[in-house]
Amino acid sequence: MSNLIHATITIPEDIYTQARIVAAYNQTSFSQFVSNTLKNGINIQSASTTKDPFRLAGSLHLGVNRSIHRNEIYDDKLRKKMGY
Amino acid sequence: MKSMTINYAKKWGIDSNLLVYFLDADSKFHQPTITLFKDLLKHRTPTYTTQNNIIEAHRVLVSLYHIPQKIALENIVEIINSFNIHIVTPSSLTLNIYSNFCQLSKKNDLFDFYFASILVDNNIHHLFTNNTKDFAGLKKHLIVHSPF
Repeated sequence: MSNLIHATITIPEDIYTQARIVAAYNQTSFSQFVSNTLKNGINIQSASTTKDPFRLAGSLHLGVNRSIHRNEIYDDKLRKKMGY
Repeated sequence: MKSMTINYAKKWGIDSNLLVYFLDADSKFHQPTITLFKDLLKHRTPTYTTQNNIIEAHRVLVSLYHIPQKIALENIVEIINSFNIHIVTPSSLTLNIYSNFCQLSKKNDLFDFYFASILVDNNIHHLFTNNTKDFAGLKKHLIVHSPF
């Protein structure tokens, strides 16, 4: 495990409160929660700077050549849900 | 692209269909979508979508095009992460905005109104989509542009 340091940071009160709640919900200490969150943030940042963002561009061959409307996505499910 | 001048400094919403077209090499909308994403990167445009859009794109890939659920969701999330697209969520005010939008338009594109409400609630007033007509009644609140 890395050496631990004591750091002072300034964050908005609502973020602090939410972070305390999430840490408690996950049964972890606030310090551990902040450390993990920062670690994840660093990993995402690192990944996003090293990976080509267009890596997945054109990775599927579906042939979607029409507009897909939102109602079309939901209506079928709603019809089934409402039984008609 | 159409002649409308795009202000890339603004916060722009990204509609679900663009996520699908980004992935689909065989779509006639694929290349314009790639061009758009390149422009967004070049201008460092702050981009946003909602959790609903992720589910919608997921549903299209899985239900209409039979991509396995896991792969479909991973691909969508990877686009979101790669382009640093922020995910915005509704608040207690979203329903008020939605109610207002329903009164503004004579059309019944309720899911589009709700999507627009979430964007506007998060102070996002610009949207890239293929379905500009679906938002026609909301012009005062949401500037909509199709990259196609």
